[in-house]
Amino acid sequence: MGSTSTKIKLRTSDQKVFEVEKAVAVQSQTIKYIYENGCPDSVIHVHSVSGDILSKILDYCKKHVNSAAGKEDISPEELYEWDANFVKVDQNTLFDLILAANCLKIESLLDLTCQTVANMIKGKRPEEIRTTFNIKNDYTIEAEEAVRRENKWAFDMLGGVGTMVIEELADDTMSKCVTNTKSRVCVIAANQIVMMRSISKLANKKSIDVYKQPQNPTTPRIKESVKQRNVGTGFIELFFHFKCKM
Amino acid sequence: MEHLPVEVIGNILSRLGGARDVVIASVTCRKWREASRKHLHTLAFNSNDLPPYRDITPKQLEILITQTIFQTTGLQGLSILMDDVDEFSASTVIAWLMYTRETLRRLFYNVRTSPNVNILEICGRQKLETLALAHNSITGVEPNFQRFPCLKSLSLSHVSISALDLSLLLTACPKLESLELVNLEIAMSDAQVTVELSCPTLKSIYVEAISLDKFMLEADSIERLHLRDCALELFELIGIGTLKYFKIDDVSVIHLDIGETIDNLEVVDVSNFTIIWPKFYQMISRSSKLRKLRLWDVAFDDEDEVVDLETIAVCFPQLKHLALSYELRDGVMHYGLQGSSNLENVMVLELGWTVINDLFSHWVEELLKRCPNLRKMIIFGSVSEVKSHEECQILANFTSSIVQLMRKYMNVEVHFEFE
Repeated sequence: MGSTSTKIKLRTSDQKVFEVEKAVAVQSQTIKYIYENGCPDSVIHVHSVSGDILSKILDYCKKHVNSAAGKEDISPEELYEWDANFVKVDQNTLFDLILAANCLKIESLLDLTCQTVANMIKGKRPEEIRTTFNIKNDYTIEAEEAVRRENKWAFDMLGGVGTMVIEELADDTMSKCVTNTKSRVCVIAANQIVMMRSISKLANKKSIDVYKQPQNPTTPRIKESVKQRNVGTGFIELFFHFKCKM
Repeated sequence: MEHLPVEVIGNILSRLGGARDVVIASVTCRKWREASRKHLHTLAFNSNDLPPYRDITPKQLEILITQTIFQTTGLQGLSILMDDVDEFSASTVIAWLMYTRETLRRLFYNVRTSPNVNILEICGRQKLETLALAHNSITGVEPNFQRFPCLKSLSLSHVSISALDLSLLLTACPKLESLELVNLEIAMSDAQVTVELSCPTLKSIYVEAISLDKFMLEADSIERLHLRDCALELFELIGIGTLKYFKIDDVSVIHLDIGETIDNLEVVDVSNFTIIWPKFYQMISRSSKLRKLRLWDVAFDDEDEVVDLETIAVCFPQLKHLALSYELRDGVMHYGLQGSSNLENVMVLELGWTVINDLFSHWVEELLKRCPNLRKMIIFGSVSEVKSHEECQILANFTSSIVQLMRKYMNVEVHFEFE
């Protein structure tokens, strides 16, 4: 019975000492291994983790240990929500948590934090990902092009969700459309008279791909049957599949 | 971000959910590219995630899947779930499976292969932990040569397999814990279609849309049993009383036997079923640990039978969640409400009607009296499209009486769900 209240001391990189229950500390496979194979009485050094981060991690471990042991009356949904709130931190903290979870081998925390980052990446283009995480693009132009070409299908412009069609609009209305849209793709219908330069400039600022449907009457016409959605600005955005490059 | 090791980036990219997102993200920088090539553990091609797939032909899909898989190494999870694709060619599927054979732990595949390929023969078996197969057929199972030493979860959907092969397959999986059988086409040699399965490690089984004469399952570790939309003459569960969760939904079964010693039941959920009350009662009455009881859209074999609250209160003192919906008939309803024992621990009450009548509000009132610690009540009603004047009147009366009633129970949260 004495083992349930055994405490383990942990010293962080910034010389802070934490005393925690064994059950909580051994959520970390690394600490567990050191404890079981090393000297259980002395302090375990967690060199790579700072006091703040370890404190957060111990909160996480404690919550999960308590809920699993039934010490805390918390439903799976409530725990899920708690986890979701736990990762609502700034980017630096999130990455520190990932590094610490990786180093301390706390699988569930690593899964949670990695999934959080994955959710931030999903649906973004490379340029956006780089901006979000402040990543330097160390590709040469040829190398990047090679990867894109090798995986053409992923980068090909397939209409899909979030495509805006511009047809029979006046110039200023058209500019408003492009400025306010959340679409990634803008298709200009064949019969639309447009000042391509001004539209391209606007579109580039927002990383929108602009495609102009050619005048050729044999080009496949827009499939109407997919979806229509009314956007707050009062313009209608069409979602459809359409392939045609300028 | 720069400090994250490449394996961790691989872990992150593996959680993106779709191969397209992974490929796009890999262009971010060279480290990410390396992560996607050498440290990606999961890759998924799912048609419902990615609308653009609908415009690509199966042949083109085969090409892009092959190109993408072959850019990775050490893949542990492969998911190819394409609902709109008729079939993939056997040689391509074989290539995917052989390439990932050494490291694969999870395989999800639901596209017909032409000509038919024995997926079990080709996919990696040594490390496989999860296998979900659909729209393929399984033949010639040889447990001596094809063992799945790590398989914990098996799901077969729209698969054609013989009863013998199914039973042999389970013997080839010494660690199986979860089994899902959906819409199986069971090939039988005799006139009687019988399935006899034995799996000592099985904890959970889900069976949907199966029609058989006899289904026997021997499982000494079973905890969850869920049958849905099945037509069976006989269903027999042979175990040692470990069952905790029992759910049947829209099942027609003449002889249902889930064992003699089922004292550990925690959840019993029966819907769209005709209950023979004495037999049913005998089955569950010793489950004093029961937490949730749901009898929804049930009919009783004997018209005079009813669920009586006294029995429920006495047999299931730990009941927290009670859900009842069946036709209320005058004489019988009062019999069911006799007695004075309260359902002390019931916190959630779900009550439903199929045809509304005046008895319903009275029934709700009586039930509220018997649940002193109730916190939440949900009323489910079906409202017919064409409402006669009478029906409108009944609904109005019901609404008024509920409003009045709930004034007495201010601490109970009430919700309504109408369909």
